[in-house]
Amino acid sequence: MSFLSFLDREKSIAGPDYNRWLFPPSALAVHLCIGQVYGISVFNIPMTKLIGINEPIKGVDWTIPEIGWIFSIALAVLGISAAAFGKWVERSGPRKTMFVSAVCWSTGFLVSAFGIAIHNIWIVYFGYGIIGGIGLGLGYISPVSTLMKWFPDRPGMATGIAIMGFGGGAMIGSPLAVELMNFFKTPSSMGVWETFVAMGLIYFVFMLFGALTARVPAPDWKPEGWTPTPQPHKMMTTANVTADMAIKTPQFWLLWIVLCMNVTAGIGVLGQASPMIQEMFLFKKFRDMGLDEKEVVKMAAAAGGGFAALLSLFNLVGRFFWSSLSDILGRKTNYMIYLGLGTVLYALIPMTGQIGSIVLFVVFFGIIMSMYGGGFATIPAYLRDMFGTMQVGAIHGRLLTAWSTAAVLGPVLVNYIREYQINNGVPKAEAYNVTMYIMAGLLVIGFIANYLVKEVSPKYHYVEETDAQKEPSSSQKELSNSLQTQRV
Amino acid sequence: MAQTLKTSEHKNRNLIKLIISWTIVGIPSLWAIWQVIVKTVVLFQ
Repeated sequence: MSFLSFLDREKSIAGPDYNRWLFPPSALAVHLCIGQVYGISVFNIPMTKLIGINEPIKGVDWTIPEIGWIFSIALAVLGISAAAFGKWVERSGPRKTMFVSAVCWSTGFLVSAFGIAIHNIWIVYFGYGIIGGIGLGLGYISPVSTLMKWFPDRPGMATGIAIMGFGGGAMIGSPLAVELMNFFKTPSSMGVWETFVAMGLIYFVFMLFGALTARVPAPDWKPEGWTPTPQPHKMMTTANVTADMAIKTPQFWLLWIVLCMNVTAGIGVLGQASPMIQEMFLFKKFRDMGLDEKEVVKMAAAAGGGFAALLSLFNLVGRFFWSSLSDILGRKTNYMIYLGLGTVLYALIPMTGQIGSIVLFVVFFGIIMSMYGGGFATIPAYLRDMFGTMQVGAIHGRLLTAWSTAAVLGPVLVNYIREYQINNGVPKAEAYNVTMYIMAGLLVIGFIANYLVKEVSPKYHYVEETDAQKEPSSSQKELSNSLQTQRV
Repeated sequence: MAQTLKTSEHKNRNLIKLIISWTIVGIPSLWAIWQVIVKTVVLFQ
């Protein structure tokens, strides 16, 4: 379609006067929108009352577990699409990818709105989960490799900015959805489908801004006054590894384990943050204040919501802070801190309950959540250090399958362990202790995997074929074609 | 002289673009952070 040719990579190469600080807002515009996926739970209660309006009608209205699948499908598809389309993203450049991501993400909302309006959850699974999930995967990886090309001197900080936006997306999406639902609510409608339509359109405009303002640097561009050093240190390669070759290296799978363990531990707790602080501290605190039981529940829920919001803020700030710090400390050292300090803090959480210190509990979880976010934000730069910039976006896409796995594993671990404990007579306030020790154990596995990461063997490095060399294999031909397209 | 004017014009245009771009992504972000602060106050009351 020639009228869409303005989206092509070659049409988005920046001129010599372009200021590289213009690209992070483009990346943020996309990530702030797709990050809404972490705030989807704001629709949980309204979606259980679409027919009953005041109360859910059993057997007719949707249940929380049915609605919970929307999030799980979307995250699973995120990982799968990022892995499947990673090489296409590298070839097509950020503008086209962001545009397609915007189309998929907003179409996902509109299709889901239709599903909600006719009360068919399968359409919502297809809309938000599948179509929206593809938009998520494409949008997530679209700016990553370009950011690292614009900021070769500070790749950790650059990707940290974009991925910080993903953390902030839920913080914008949740209150926005609440405001819109209140606006559209009528005696006969919860205002959910109308909110989905409005959000789909708002996100499309915002993401379009990101796509249209995105620029890639010219192939020979480098920051003013910056000279690349041949090899700054052992763990930072100047060679390149293709995405297909990267998955054959032990380093890829060690980093997969690192990401999976870090995310499993964080994601499991993030979803349980509000009930956890209520059961461990708040019920007791408000009862001791002499409030009646109804007030206790109301106050605890409000304060629990505040705690969850505060964790989102730590998650957001951690993405920028830790990934920027990794430019100084090195990626491996950063992950040693996330996983080592994380283990200690998780193991100390039960102690905060025993001594009744809500301040320590909040501080410990704040640090844990900042490192959870930091883990996400630092991984693209870690991959660049290991495998070079040539196909880092595609490699990052494949690594995100670890996130999809963790998205299923984390909540399941936390929920089932807690249920098992309560069924065996453990008081609710203490039921989280074993979970915390298991999370600490997961981080130990991640710590060991990170410790084992060494530089990639030269046998995996990409070597350009010359005419004198033998006829390339079909996969090498494909790679060569893709690289030629990139250089256009 | 003409070259200096052209460079200065480019710089100004870039500055305006930077302000507009960062404002577009900054306003919703600041609104979100404000929402968090409001909610967090309840926790420590």
